Amino acid sequence: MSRPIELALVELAHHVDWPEPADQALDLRRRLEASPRSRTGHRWIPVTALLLILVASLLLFSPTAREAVADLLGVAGIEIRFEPLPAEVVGGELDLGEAVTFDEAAEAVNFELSVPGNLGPPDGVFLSDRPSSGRVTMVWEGGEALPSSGDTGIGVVYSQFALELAEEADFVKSVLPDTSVRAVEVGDVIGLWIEGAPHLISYEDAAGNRVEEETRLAGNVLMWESEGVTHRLETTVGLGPSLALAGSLQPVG
Amino acid sequence: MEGRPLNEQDLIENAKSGDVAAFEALVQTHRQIALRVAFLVVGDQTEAEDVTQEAFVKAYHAMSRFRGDAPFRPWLLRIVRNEALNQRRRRGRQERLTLRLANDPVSGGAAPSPETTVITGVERRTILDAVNGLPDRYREVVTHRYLLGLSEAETAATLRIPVGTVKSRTARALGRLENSLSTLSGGGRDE
Repeated sequence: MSRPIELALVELAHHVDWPEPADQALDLRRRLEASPRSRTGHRWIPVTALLLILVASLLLFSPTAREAVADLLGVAGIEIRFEPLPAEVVGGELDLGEAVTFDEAAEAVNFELSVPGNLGPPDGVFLSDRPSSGRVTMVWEGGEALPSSGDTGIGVVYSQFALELAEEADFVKSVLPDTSVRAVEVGDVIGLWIEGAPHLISYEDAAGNRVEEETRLAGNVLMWESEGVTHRLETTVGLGPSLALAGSLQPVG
Repeated sequence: MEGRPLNEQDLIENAKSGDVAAFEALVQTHRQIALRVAFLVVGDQTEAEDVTQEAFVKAYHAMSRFRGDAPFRPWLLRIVRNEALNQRRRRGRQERLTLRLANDPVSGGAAPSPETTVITGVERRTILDAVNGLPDRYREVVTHRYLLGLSEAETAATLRIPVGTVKSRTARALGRLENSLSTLSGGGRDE
């Protein structure tokens, strides 16, 4: 599904002439705290403060009170409809495949699944047909040791799929600028540590097929192959903790 | 990217109970992408800035209706885009946005690694021209997916279209881009 044009577009994103954000935070605060009544030119700080306390306490009450406050502040007319987002399961928004149970995933692939020994059961399990022999991805919500990426709430994305990586040192076909790839020892095999942004890498498997991978957490990726199964571990932490996590993997019978 | 004092969930909870500082901190991390979402609709820096501000104010007042377990970013971006569309409607003009390349040659001083895909400025311009030339419905999906780096689900939520539509439009858009690029370079690439 991923193609060179996609790589080029992601790279292009860094060179578009985007508008630069001004110091908006300050303005926002002023707007949120402003009231039309304070536009008289007088600086009635105590009154403003009282009004703010009133506003703050009103906001704690009902939505109706909120709308009243919105009117008071001159920002009425909220006309946005809020529909439920597609993501209902943990990690569902990451496009990792179909949400399945662990047992369903284990049945669907012809290799033994592993899980990290110290994370507990995954918060989400996904099955995808990329590659066609199946890929199982488990996600864990972020915690103290493995913080989540800001947008997703997910701290660990761990995929397993039956794919032999090419052995040549140059099997990495392309990465984007600002991304570094280096070989590291994962247990007794050599793996790859991919760090930095942005987040698309393309490489070759043993059959010479080009494979492209996108990061999901804007995080770092540790990839290695062992007995015909490729493991891909994405976290927001550094190499050390990632290797420790990889070392804790245990096959689930 | 790192060192956030409170995690997003904490900020959401506090913002939901009216904490302006928490809301500010919450939207601060999404400010740049929000501005770009607005810019893609209105096509003007100042207007995009106003739209983003207005959208943030509305989002603040709508926080009580935000479902805590849903992803925040697409929710926010949807409000921003909605505000931008309203603004464009109010303005009446429907100028087509043309994205341009920034002048700086290559960001970052680090020497590119040997694996780095080398894309020249001319190629970038050609690709961007091709993106600019796409019909709106394809261009929207391509700009949000690749130039803004949103996931399929986030793109769907921001643009208010089903994920399946994002997938099919993306596929068609990429096909069109590949076609127009191979035509421009004077010969098809075998794929």
